[in-house]
Amino acid sequence: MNAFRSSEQANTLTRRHLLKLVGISLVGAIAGACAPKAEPTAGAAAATEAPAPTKPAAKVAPVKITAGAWAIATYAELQGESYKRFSEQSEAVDVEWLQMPWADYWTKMTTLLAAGAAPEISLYTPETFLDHAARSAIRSLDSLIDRDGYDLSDFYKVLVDMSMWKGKMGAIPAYHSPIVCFYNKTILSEAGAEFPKETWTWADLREAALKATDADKGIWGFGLEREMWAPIIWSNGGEVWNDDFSASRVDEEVFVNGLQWWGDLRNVDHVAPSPAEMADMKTEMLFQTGKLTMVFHPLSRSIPWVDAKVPFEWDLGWAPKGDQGRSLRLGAGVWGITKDCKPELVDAAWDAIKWVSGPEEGNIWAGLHINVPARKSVAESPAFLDTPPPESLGIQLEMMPYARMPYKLPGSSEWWNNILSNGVILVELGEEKAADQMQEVKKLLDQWLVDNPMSKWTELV
Amino acid sequence: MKGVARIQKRATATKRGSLLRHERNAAYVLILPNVLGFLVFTLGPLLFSLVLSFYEWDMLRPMQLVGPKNYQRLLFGDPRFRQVLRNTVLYVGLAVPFRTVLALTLAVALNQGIRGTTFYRAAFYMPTVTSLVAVSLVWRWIFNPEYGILNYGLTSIGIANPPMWLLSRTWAMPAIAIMTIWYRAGYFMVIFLAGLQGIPEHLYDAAKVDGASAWGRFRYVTLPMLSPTTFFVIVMSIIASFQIFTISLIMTEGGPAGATETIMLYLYRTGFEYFRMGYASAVAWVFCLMIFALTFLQTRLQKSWVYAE
Repeated sequence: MNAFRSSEQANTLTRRHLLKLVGISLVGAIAGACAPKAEPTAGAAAATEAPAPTKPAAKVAPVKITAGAWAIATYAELQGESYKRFSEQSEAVDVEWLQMPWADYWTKMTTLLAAGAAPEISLYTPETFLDHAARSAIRSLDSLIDRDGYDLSDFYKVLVDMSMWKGKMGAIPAYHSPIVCFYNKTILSEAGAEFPKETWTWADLREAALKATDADKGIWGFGLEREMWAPIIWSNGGEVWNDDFSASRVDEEVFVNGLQWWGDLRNVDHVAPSPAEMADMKTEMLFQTGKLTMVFHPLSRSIPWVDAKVPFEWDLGWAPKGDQGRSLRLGAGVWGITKDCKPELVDAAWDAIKWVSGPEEGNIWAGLHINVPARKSVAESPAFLDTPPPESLGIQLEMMPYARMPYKLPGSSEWWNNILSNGVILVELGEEKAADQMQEVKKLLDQWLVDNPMSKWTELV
Repeated sequence: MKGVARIQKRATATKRGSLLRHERNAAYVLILPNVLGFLVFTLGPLLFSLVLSFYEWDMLRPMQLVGPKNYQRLLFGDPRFRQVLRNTVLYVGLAVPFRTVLALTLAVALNQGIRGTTFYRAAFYMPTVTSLVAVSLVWRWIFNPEYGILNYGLTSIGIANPPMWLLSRTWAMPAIAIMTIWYRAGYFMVIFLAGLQGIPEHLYDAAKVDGASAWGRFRYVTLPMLSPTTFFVIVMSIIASFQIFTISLIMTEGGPAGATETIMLYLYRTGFEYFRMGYASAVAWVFCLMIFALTFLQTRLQKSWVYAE
């Protein structure tokens, strides 16, 4: 024994050594957690997973890719089914499904893209497709389309145009959601008001709303759904931007008058509930409870009252005409391959997209009425049209020639959702007149263009 | 003998030194995970954001060096930043004084030794431990101009046109301030209570002997003796209030028309929704320097009003 150490000190030193080991282990664990993840290999997949019972025996282990999308309400669990069916029938590809609520999806996607770890495939709206395409976060599909001779003619042209950026195809349409007029037939009949018809104008809509509104019964004629004011302005020839996106046009008379008319529905005519009167309920909830006679919505919003089997008759109606014809806002979903998809996985991702966008999957989804099929052959088939409610599903297809996506200008989360919407809200609340407010908005929008010139936007990868 | 004693003395010193070294090393090992975590998850990102503030980065493409352009735009060319700064200052100006006064009042009341002190203390503290999201949603209903209980109460006492609260550009931020005053008063009340209970009783006895009234004792004994606690409460309250984010996001989403958009909410949107991470980093650093300057100013001013023993 060391003459300069007592047995007690020897024990103390042993405990210290133990503490050192614990500390070093913790450091090692942290370092291990921070290490970059290992590259996926087909061999590893084969070693750790048993193949699905229905898959044919694979000679080569399938590659794994990930497809991501936000959840669509009630049918969230069905969304991944398309990719699951693809994986089951594919010998070469396994698709993992990544899904989360809308509010979180884009924050997560952007963060994953920054880290180079985004899913290989993602669903996009028109706006998010633009934002990502213009920042080179989506791959061009032109070479794949040309190589395989992929036929785009079955898709609605407006959706194909929507999936392009700077002349290149960046995505394949999955579905679309024209904003149409939902109306309560029971209320309109009892009020002696006309049903929406092909020749309807905005004045006719106002007339019907006035007749249907009954303050004593708490029934409103029309619901001001946020961002649904645009068709009024477009159908009368107004626009937010000029053609080359060099200046804003929100201060023009046609824009100002259209917006003021929209706000007056609530503040002057009192046919639309105020935000206070809506008591935090969305317009689709008011419609479902029979308190709202007419509202503009995409078809997917009808799911609650279809499921609930509401005690009134309802249907889809024509969007009203303006001086320059008819115009309605188009919502849609498109599948794209992200920039983080490695070159060796692009073909796998492309095969998966072709499957989920194909007519077979389209027919499965057609009868669910979550959205309108992107393919004409499916949308115009009995699979979609002969499965009411509503009775007039076909109106959506008849209105397709008038459907448009807002604008092919990236950054709408700022210039539309924030700058423009903040101005519109003040008019809707009756706090400001459209003429005054749009002067302020124009300054901000024009400044935004200066800060974000068209030269800032790059091409698809 | 002397030599042996010298050797023994040197051996003892060596043993002590070795022991101290071992203990020191053990201490370093034990704090190493925390230090590593701080370096990796706090200091590292902090320094990266400082570097990033001189770049333009949308997280999807490579960074581009723009130098001080982000700061120039922020300080001299961004009307929206000025608006969110005004909103935030308004909120701080409303929330901090009223919350401090309310917390002090509650603490003084609870310090009187009344029956049920424990119950009241728990009741006032309860909001602090409740989910902020849940509280925000409930208060949205309370503030509803048509169906909310607050306006129902105001109309029943004769106020004909009560405010539109969260739907009014004028009243939305005061409404949020009211909610947070209620939400956080209990937390600061507990801090004040601890401060009050640290005031020596003999000072009150001396004041009574000198004929001081209750108000006099409060003004000349309680407030000065409580001033270090008050200073702490005000500084922490200001720092926390400047960083308001969740409440304005859930209750109003920054509306109506940006009336309740705070600096933190603007920062978040700039970075994650508008794809301008470099500019968002510049906002963060300017904001950090503002809070630092304000705290420094308060620290310098404390000499004039904070009693130090």
